[in-house]
Parts: sequence; C-alpha cells; structure tokens
Amino acid sequence: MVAESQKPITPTELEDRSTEPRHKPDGPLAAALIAGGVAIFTLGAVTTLAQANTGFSNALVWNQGVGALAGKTIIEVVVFIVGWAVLAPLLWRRDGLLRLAAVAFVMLAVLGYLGTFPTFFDLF
Amino acid sequence: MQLGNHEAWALVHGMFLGGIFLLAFSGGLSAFYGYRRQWLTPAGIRERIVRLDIGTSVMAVVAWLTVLTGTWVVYPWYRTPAPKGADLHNYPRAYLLAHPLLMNWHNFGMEWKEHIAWIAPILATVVAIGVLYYERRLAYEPGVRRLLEGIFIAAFVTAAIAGAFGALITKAAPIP
Repeated sequence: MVAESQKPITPTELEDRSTEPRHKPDGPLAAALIAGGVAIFTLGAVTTLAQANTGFSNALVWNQGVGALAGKTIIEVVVFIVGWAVLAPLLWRRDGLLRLAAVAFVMLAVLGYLGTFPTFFDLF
Repeated sequence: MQLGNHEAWALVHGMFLGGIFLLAFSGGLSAFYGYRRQWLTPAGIRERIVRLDIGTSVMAVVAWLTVLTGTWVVYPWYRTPAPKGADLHNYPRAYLLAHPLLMNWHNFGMEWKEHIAWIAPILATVVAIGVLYYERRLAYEPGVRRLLEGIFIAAFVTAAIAGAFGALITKAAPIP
C-alpha cells in the first residue's frame, strides 16, 4: 500500500497545482461587506427615524421633487463610499476577517431591511 | 402608438434596465454555481471568470442606473401634488391615496419599494467587488463563492420585490 504522500502526482494534479492562483487575504472583501452592511443599516435607521420625527423627515428633503427619499438615499450612498474608502486600505493586507465581517453584514442588513419595511416603521 | 416622455422614462427604468438586470442575474448565477475547481479545468477557470466579472459588474451598474432613474426621474412625476379640483388620474400618488381600496398601493407598496430598491445596488456592488478582487482564486475558495452567491441572489430578490411593486403600482396608477 502506497502512502498518500508517496503516490505519484497525476498530470492533471500537476497542472492544477502549477496554475492555482495564490491565496488572497480576505480583508478587502471584509471591508466591502462591513461598508455595505453599515450603509444598508443606515438606510433603515434613517427611514425609521424620519417616520418617527417630522422635523428630521423635513430636514431630509434635499430635493422637492424627490422629497425625504433624497436625503435618505444620499446618506446611504455616502456612508457606503466613505466606509469602503476608509476600511479597504486599513484591511487590505489583513486576513481571517471574513467570518466576522459576514456575520456583521448579515445582522446589519437584516436590521436595515426591517427599518425599510412599512409595517415596522409605521409603528413609530 | 406613441409614447410620451414620462412613459418612455418609465419604460427605460422598469423594462429596459430591468430586463438587462434579469439577464445579468441569470448569467451570473449560472456562472457562480459552476465556478468550482473540481468541475473546471485550469483553462475553464480562466475562461469562466470573465463571464462572472461581466455578469456581476453589469448587474451592479444596471442596479445603480435603475434606482437613479427611478428616484430622480420617474418618482417626482409620481408624487407631484395635485392642485385642488384637479383630475387625480394625472397625479398617481394623490389618486391612490384618495381611494380607500387603492391607498395601500402607496402606503405599503410604494413606501416599501422606494426604500428597499436602494438596498439592491449596495448588495450587487459588494458582489462585484468580491468577484473582481478574487478573480480566478474564487474557484478555490468555496466559502467565499457561496457567500457572494448568496448576496447575489439577495440582490436579485430585493430588486424583484421593488420591480414587482413598481409594475403593479403603475398598473393601478400610471404615470401620466
């Protein structure tokens, strides 16, 4: 019986190993996930706050035609862009963050979805 | 058979961009599912990543264009306040709110659609970033592939909800 380490490498395995790209740290994707999660959460939070407070809602009317949706969505997009611009360089070479970032992303996104659901924000 | 300016933009927003979005999703999902080192030769890994790059990038761009045209072009026409005594058929939001059986198309349908739609481009962009960053390495990272695939599907479902409500609201109260 030939040990696993002593078994001859097949041509396919040899080609596969020689063409396999190098491992990449997961920091950049973690940065995108966190920035995205925070942006989605922000949209939900701002939407719910606007429903709860007329003054805040009026302050988001950055365009008469679009109404408060203008402020809500511009804030969301700015949070995403700034968040990613800040986190990506910080986490570029970091590794092992993906699981934590994915969990944070899911939690923030779920809260964001909740905050944009009319039955929820109408409670406030 | 003529289309007014408002109708043309509504078509661009809903059907043209929506159609491209659907195509990009279909192609991207198929590419994601099959992008595994066990199923592909090295040449296949090199070839298929191009399809993934294009599919996810197009979907992200189209998602942004859809929400931008919807919010900044079509939405203001929808929510134009109706002058006193005006024919409400020309003012979709006011028309829906004036009819008890139709008001939830605005209070629930449009209120949900206008907000949830803006989540789809964020999700699609995160996926495109992930694919463009990992490139061929994605075939060797099944956990990353499944994560991005899941977010890709979530982007589609989110956009589909917004699109469905948009179509139904337009049916109840067309943009004049």
